[in-house]
Amino acid sequence: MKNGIIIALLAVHLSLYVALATTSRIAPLELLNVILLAAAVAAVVLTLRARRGYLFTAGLLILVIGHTYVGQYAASDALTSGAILLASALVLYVGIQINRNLPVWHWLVFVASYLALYGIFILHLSNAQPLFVMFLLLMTACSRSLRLMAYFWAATIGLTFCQPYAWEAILSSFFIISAVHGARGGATAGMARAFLLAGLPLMTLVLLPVLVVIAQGDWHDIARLLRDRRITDAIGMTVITATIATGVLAIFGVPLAYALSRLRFRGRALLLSLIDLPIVIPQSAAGIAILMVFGRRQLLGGWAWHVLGTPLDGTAVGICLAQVFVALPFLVRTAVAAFDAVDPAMELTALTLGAGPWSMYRRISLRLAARGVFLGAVLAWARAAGEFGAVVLVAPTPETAPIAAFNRFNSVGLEETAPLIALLLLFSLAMFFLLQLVSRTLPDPPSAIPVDLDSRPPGQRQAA
Amino acid sequence: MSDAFLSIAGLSLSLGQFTLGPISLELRRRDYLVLMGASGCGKTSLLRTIAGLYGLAAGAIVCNGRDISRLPPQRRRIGYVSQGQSLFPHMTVRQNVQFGLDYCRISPAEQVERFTQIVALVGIGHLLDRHPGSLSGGEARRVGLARALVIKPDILLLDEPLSMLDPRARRELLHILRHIHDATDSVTIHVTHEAGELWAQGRLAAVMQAGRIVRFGPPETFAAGPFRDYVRNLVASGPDVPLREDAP
Repeated sequence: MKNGIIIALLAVHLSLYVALATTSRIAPLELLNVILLAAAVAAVVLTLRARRGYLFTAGLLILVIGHTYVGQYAASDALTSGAILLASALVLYVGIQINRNLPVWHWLVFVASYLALYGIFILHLSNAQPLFVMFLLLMTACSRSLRLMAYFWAATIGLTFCQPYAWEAILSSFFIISAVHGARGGATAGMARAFLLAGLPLMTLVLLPVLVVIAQGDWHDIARLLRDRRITDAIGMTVITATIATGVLAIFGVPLAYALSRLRFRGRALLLSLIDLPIVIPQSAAGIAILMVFGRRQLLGGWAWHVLGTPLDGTAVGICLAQVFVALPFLVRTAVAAFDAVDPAMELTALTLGAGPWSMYRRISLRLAARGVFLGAVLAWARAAGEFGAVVLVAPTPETAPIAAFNRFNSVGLEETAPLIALLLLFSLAMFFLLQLVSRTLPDPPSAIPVDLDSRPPGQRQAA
Repeated sequence: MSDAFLSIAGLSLSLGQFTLGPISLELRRRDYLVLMGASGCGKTSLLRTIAGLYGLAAGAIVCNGRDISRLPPQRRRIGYVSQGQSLFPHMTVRQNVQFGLDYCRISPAEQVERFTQIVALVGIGHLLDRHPGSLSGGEARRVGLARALVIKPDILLLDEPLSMLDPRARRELLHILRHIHDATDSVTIHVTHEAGELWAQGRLAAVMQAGRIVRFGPPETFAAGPFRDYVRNLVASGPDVPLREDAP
């Protein structure tokens, strides 16, 4: 039966060859055609003698027939057509091996990938046969492992459909694939990994614009910006005001957070939700509300002008005020949670040992909550430095960096603003990672210390 | 009354739904009281009240002639070892033990002497440079004890110091507790809700139920009377530590 099929296929090939040669539809002595003819005969002879490899030979014969009578009309030239034939033979061989040796999933993915590549490079992007051949070779190289196939498809889709953000897209999707593949967990790891896969594209939404802006930033433009007085002034103003705002928050907000964590009183829940108010209300509304109280024509604002000698709106003081307003929840909320994690029994112990309340707060509570409080301060700083809506209403000048970016965008447009945005993003990222790094040096929160039920020292447990 | 070192009179307070007391109790110097009772009967609350975490609604705590019931915790001269030891995780064992010395108003030489003495007494000399996170359960308890002892407390409050230890660590810690009791002259109140072997430790025992002390006296007297079965159940876990001779 199998012998019959491949002999019949060979017969079809030979008879068509003779028929087309006599009607001059193909050149019978062209080297490639002769080689293919010889290869077909040789494959059939070898298979018949070895009594195995029927599948590959049959497939090869069909490919050769298809190539000889259809392929060279479809392809742009004989060279491309030959390359496609060779690549297809490789795919056929690898496909048979996968089908025989690997789980069925691999084979399904392989076949689907082949069809998808055909669809992309032959049907969708016409005239892309060389690319098709190249990607076929890559696909066969990756086909042994599903993870490599995932990387392969990430690269393929990134390169074909995500121009001009190809590299950013590839980087993000590679990150996703390696994260999902490397994730380990307990009994629910499977489901959690599916959730991770579903959630990570959300992170891509965040990462992609940032990567695009930074990757497209021209270093010469950025260097030129750094010599621009207006820009450096704006960045300096941002750093100074955000730092002052965070300092004010730290001085008043951290003790407030401690009180909220330790005391129980009527209205505590209300106070805690009021702290979130700046997150809830629109930033422009916040800015206007601040103006209505602290504007120079208002009672409190006028009084502050009188006392401080400077109006609040339109000055650096006003900027700080708006920043404190919007950044407050980030510090206080995080600090309350950090203090909540400190065991009151530990504080009582410190007191019984003779430490006064302030000493206990400084050496125990604040020290153990330090990482949480610091992270809260980092978030608050970032929020303050990045605030636009409230600040632009309270004090459009002196410019902070976000306002400088907006003004530039308004006056010269998207293209010209890109380097400035890249610079601001780089600067913010650098600040953020630097501060995160600093927070690593602070002690772990107390809950990180395991309750130890085993009385042997840790070193001896493994042996027993 | 006159020879009482620690005298608690009519102590009561309410903590949310729970009412503690009224509790009256008199202990002489060097007394070792084992305070028993089921979970939730108010043992820990009583300790924390004596330590000063909760204010009294009524009553007084007089220790060594001082009324300490209105004093803040840091001036009560109480060594409090909470159930989880509450070792300060960001300090080494040495810093933990030295913590109380910073507030003791004694000369540096005296500080060193007291530190060395307590460390030897509790046997933690080899642990001084470790962090609490790396200690075993028994080691952590010994460090907690040492830290409470360096301030030379009038009253030593131990909240379940033997719970969740394996039998060997329990025996070791019991020996250390006895050692400490012999070497210092503070009053010890040792709270437990199960450990039968503690029976051997106390010259005095008390049973708490629903916020009150319902039985108080030398352990032998518990063998008869209405609490016999209750106490027998508590003791049933089987003492393997010999009975302790009465304190001189």
